[in-house]
Amino acid sequence: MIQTSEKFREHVAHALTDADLKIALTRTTGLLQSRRRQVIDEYPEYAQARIRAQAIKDHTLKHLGHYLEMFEANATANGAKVHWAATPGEARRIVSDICVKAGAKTATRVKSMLGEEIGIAEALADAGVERIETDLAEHIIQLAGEAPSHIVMPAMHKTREQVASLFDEKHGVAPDSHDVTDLVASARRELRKKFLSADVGISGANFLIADTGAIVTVTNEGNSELTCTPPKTHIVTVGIEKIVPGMDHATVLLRLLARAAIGAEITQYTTFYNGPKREDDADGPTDYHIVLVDNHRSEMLGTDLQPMLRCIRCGACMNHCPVYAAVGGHAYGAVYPGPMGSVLTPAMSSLEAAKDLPNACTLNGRCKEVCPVNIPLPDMLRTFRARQWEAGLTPPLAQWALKGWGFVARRPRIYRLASGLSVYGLRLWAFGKGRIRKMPLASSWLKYRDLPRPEKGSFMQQYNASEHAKRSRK
Amino acid sequence: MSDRSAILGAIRAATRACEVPASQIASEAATLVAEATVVQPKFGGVSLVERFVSKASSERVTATVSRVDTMAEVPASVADYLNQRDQRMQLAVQPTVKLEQLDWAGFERLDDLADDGGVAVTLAEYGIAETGSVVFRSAADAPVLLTFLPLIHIVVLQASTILAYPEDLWSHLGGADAPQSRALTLVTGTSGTADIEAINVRGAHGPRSMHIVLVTE
Repeated sequence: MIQTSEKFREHVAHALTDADLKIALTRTTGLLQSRRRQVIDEYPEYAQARIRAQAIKDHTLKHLGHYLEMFEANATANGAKVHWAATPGEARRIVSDICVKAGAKTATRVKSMLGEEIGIAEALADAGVERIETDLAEHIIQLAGEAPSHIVMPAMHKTREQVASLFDEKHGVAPDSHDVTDLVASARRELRKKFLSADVGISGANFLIADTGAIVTVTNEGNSELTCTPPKTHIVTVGIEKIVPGMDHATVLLRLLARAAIGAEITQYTTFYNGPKREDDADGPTDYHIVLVDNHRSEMLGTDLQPMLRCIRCGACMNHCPVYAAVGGHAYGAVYPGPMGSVLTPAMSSLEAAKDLPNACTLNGRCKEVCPVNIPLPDMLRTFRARQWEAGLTPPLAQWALKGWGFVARRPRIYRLASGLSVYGLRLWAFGKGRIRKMPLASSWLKYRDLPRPEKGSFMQQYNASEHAKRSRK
Repeated sequence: MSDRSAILGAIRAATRACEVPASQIASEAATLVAEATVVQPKFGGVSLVERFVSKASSERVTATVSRVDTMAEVPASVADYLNQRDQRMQLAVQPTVKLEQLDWAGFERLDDLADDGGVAVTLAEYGIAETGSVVFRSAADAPVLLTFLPLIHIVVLQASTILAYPEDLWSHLGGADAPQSRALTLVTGTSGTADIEAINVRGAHGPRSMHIVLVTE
């Protein structure tokens, strides 16, 4: 997708007036939060598992080169062709070449965010291959010509009514009714034959197992196995940070992934793919490719952004983010929305292109709290704010205000005087009413809320007064 | 410079301080998964079979379970299940000796599930008590698609193959150095989706119902 993060403010203004979006987000976020809460409450070992998960990812990142070479050797021994792509462009070229060589006309695809990141749709179009999205949500947004708005539930921005009218229009046979069950059945009917006749199957991977060379996919729909079994060619595109040392390490992370993402103990289907069809296997692809993609990940290693490479793409951070819940995923104008996206987007593009994202955060800390690998997302967003300041990207008015505040804050006497005066001023400005509705320099803040009239005197003035009163009582 | 050397070069430059012998990395990695009980959900004193059955038939997994004593009783149990649901006595049977040798008289055998709505009977190699999952590995006598194309998936599972945790499965299968089949799948219930308004619906692309015939012998 084309990144439009620089238009974040425009997108937000648009999103806040979209009644359907509001309905869709309200219907989903509460459910996702309560399901996660319940399944974690039923798992008393969660705290220990989270500590281990973090340690496993940190260990693997520390020895990333070692593990990637180990994976490459084992996957190659299993019969995979392993490719390396430093950039999305290179990854697209590799995928197109494979499709062209295979003489492919159609490709089924299992959703993967890495695929979105590198622009797999473009790669297939370049190769003249018809793309068939098989994840229900990706099928919906493909029909609607839209981009994903969530990393686990790409069509979270759509209400069931919107999906119903889309299917009425686009499916060969319209759904029997507009019940969600019938909508799902309609998509099943639409996709069934396409699974079995595709020339290429494209997947991502939730994990790479270094010591066996396996790639792991997790789905609830079973569309991964239906995508990666019938076609002659299976192409995996995956980010290099998805690697773990072995099966036991993957198991620790799998327990957390399903719980954090969808509030389940495990997804319905967890498959470890170990190569192409064996000589006497009943089914499976004969041609099997793995494309390892960097796209700025190696640049994050060894910097204060390294913890972001622990991310297992569960989406819990966005499910618990008040900003995401208000504006939805499209407003971010990037492949990865929400808190994790506000870190990844500037890291993978530029500070300028994503300058509003690190600021679209209340620093309430819920994203870090629910993160199964304990990524300090608020700290990283603050890091970007500091980098913006250093790069002179902070808007002039905010720069001026922060400099002014910094000057005053380092001089306690002036600070107390100024805060005392501003309380006095605000009380005057309230004109005897309980709240302030309009004020110069604060119009955008006051547009959506009122400011209560401050109590009499600043904190320090009230504190000093009470201390004085205590002393005089003695 | 190739992309491979560029990527590995950048990684090495960023992690140079961490370069240690492979044996040391391996022992660090082993420490991270030692004493797996710390992170494995406890069963609270119930047996592996009880735990498996309660998880598999739970609201989240939605399988049904019936129990028989011997493999020979499996076809009758399958017939009962299909009768109760007014299904035709038509099914595909996994071409594996343990199932092939059973007496399937009275059933019409399907050899193609491409059309939707079919029934398949497959033999799980293992069960996992922690989650109520069943385990399949691709092979000459184990087509992957048999697990994904039917609308009703009937799984035969021998109670003696139920293991506690996935970690036990990996060690049962011989670890990283043992030969790996192309695909190993943990199946936990039926194909489902929550992609429309987070509402859970079953029968997304694969089976809508899963029935497990648990064999005691």
